Amino acid sequence: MTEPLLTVEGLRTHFFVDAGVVKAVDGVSFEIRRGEVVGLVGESGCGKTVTSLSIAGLIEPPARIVEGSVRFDGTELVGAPERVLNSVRGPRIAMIFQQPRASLDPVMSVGRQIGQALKSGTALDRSARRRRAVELLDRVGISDPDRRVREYPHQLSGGMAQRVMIAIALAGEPDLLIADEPTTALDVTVQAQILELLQELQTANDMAVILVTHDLGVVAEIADRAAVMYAGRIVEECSVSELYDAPLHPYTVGLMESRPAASHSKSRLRVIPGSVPVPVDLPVGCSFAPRCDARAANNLTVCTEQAPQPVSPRDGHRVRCWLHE
Amino acid sequence: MVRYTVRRLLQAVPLVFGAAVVTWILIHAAPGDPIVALAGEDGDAGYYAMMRERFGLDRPLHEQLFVYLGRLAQGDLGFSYRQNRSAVSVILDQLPATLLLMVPALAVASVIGISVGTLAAARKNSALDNTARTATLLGHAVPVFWLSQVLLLLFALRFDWFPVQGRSDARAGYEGFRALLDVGHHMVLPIAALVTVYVPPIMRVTRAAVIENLDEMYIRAARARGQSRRRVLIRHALPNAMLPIVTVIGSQIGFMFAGSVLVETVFAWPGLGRLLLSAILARDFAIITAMLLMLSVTIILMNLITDLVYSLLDPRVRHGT
Repeated sequence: MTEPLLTVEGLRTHFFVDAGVVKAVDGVSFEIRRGEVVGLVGESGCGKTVTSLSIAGLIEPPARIVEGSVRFDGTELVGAPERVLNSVRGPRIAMIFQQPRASLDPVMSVGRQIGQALKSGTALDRSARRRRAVELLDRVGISDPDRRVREYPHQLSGGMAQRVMIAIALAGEPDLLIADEPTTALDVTVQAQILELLQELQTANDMAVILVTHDLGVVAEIADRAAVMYAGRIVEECSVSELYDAPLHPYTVGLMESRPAASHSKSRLRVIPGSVPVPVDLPVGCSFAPRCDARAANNLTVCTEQAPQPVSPRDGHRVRCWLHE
Repeated sequence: MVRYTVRRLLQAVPLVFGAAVVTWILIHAAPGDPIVALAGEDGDAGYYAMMRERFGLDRPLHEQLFVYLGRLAQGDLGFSYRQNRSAVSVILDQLPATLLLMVPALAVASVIGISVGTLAAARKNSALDNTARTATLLGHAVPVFWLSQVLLLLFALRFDWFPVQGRSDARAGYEGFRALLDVGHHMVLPIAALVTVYVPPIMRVTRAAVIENLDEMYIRAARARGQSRRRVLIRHALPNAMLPIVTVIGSQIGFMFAGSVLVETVFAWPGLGRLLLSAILARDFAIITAMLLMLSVTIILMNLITDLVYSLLDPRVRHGT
């Protein structure tokens, strides 16, 4: 098998704040192959976004990558000089974000922002960049691109702004797209359109995608594999079909059960009791243990004493849980 | 844009008249008699009466006010008893000298304030930032007349690097380029004093606005498409921070006369500041009211220009959202 496009190993990103050290990402490892779509799933505050920012080298103080490695296509990105990171970001690894309108510079025209990405990703001259910007807007399904290219972000709807962000991301024909909750802030109908667009572009460009989301439906829609994060760690990693048919980690099981289902809309929504622990002074042992029904049911004491290591009960399926040791 | 400008100018007319009435009343409420100031005390009562009648000072105050406003409506800003010519011509004579100090001082202060503020924002809490903040705090706290005198004592009298006072060396009789150089030499110290006053607000507003914008999501998004830290600072954070910076620079222009009175007096610079001071001492009502009126017009105009610059800088203002 060929080398994966991206290998994240033992990544730890901590925030050094007055209240203590917040271990937002605490030992995350995963791989992604060329053209693969991986869903990074979890509740708010579980470290999904910090993980994706760490991959792109966009961690700012008070946060810092304290340990681990991010290898992208043979290049180590952790500790790489700014010059290297600036040449990777954009042309090789592109990102889109949750708040598309806030992610566009309000005083710079859409065309110029796409132009910036083209400048760092291609050798096109000014007028060629202008033409390419119009093509890209057309490619992401924006009507009247000749006019839109001169417009400013406040003249765009949220859905259009996300299309512009996608156009910017595509400008350098990246190998990897990190999409951080790309549809969360959008209307439901627009969500579907954006997902469809992403999927179509992913297939056409054979681009790998890390899809950061809390929405399992979105993962089911377009991801090949899923990695479930809890309190700064990946607790389960498997194909999307296994995630749906045979989840192993009690947290994943809880997440799947707490999805509203159309078939029995009258029944109460199942919830996972408690909330995500604040990652300052995490509990010793498994961080999910205090909320875990399975631990109580099986009377496991090891859960609160020692953190479980990842195990592979099935091929291509990894889980961090004492139930499966 | 043109319609907007015209509407704002029309709105300014009653404001200017209001300002004129208030300054006129304030000045006439202050103690002092222009005729006594002009002719000296213990003069001939008949001469006083004649002069009063000649300038209309014998009439009741409200009548004098109406006469003043009537003339103002026709563009007549009054007549200087002291200099025996129209207030406007006196002021226009002195204006270039003041602009010669104000314009370069404000330009230098803007460049220093914006660049140091931007750098300080980029390196928040660094040694550079702390030094800049302490220095601007000092610059803000030091009274400008004291600073001017210290500069004079140190760099003109002690080290003899710069001339002490005035705009040019009358005895040297320089011509051409040499004369220009001489004026430039005289400008250094007063401009240094004014720059010290102008820089702190510009620097502090720049720093705060840039810091605020550096936290915005579009900064991260720009970094994610490969823009370097420096480019993000100059191409994204600074342009977005320009509105408050333009506001503070605009308001400085409006108030530049205040600083100019003190600095021009210390350096014996023949400008509007010194004119205002001598007019006040001489109870030269026409000059005082005309200058204060000019001041309010400048402030109103600067506000308008600031708003127009906003729409140049920010498409959201331009499109009215």
